[in-house]
Amino acid sequence: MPSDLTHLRSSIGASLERPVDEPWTLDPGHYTSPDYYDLEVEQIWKKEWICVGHVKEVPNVGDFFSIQFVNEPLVIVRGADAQIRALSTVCRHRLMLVAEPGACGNANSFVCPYHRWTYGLDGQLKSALHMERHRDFDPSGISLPEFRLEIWNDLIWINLDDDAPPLAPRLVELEEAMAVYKGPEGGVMAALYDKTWKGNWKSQVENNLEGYHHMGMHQQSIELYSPTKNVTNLTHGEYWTRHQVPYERGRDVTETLLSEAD
Amino acid sequence: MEQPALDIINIHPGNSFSIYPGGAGYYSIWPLGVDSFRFRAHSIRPPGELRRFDPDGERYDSERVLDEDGVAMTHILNGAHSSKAEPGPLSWMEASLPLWHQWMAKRLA
Repeated sequence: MPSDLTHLRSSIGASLERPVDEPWTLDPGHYTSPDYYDLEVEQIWKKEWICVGHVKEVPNVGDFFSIQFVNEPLVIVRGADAQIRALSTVCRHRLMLVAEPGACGNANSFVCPYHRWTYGLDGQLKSALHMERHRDFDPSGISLPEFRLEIWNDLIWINLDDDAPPLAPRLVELEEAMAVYKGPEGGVMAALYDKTWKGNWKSQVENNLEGYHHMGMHQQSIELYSPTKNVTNLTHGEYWTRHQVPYERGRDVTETLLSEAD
Repeated sequence: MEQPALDIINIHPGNSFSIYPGGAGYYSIWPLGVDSFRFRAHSIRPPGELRRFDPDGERYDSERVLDEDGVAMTHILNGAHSSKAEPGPLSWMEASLPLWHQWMAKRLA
């Protein structure tokens, strides 16, 4: 309902006036309103930078993984020129997807399973059979559209907005801390955790913003070595927040995890 | 010697980074609808560290922790649909939440 949306916009706007040392949760409607969600997609998710992976996930030419990002099916792929690109997977012929969301591996090209139109790793159309009778058909002018992509500290970031300001300048204050993602030399990736969860996305963001819940949801896991009572050093910038949870003295996180596994 | 710590950095809107002795994880979320979202997590660490955490090299070491959060998300969504749901006060430990709300307000209000 539009009135519902008006109320929710007004409600979130009120947070700009409220002292941050008198914090409250959002109105529940922010987590349930389809209209408000549509607004979030347009004003946030189609305009902001999101980290979708690490360069070590696509180390070789042809390595790729595909995702469904909001309403956009796309593939992250390392091309023959070693550049990593974010390409739309929507075939320029009949809108079929040339890679299923969730697919990953190594490819020489992306072949549309519908009519075999074939695209190079840079998105350029390489071949399309039986198109010679179409007067206006020019394969050199056809390619999978490319989205904005930026590599920052070896992390792969994408943005659906062609006009979005670059990512790195807004995160200068985090440069030193985030440099850890460039290494270590010979570093390896653990297995990917990739799931669809039931819930509103903002609830998970808010969960990540605080260590207050360690003593509740994680009382048998991270609370054992990184407990709520140790939460400290809350800092923030215009685009980020940060907090730290010192380990309990004498606790070794590895030993804790391994003993749990036993 | 300074006590090692879990260092959590969140970059709006859906990027979370967990830096800890011997490794660093990153967590990306993006919505699939008003009531579901994608959670993609990975971590990087020296080869020896990975073996220490997971001898088989298969399991995501924080999977248990993430699954615990996943349970909470479903329940929170149910709670938000309740006729009795109302905003509640936050702890000083949740001081990042109003900052996050203000970030959103600048884009949505």
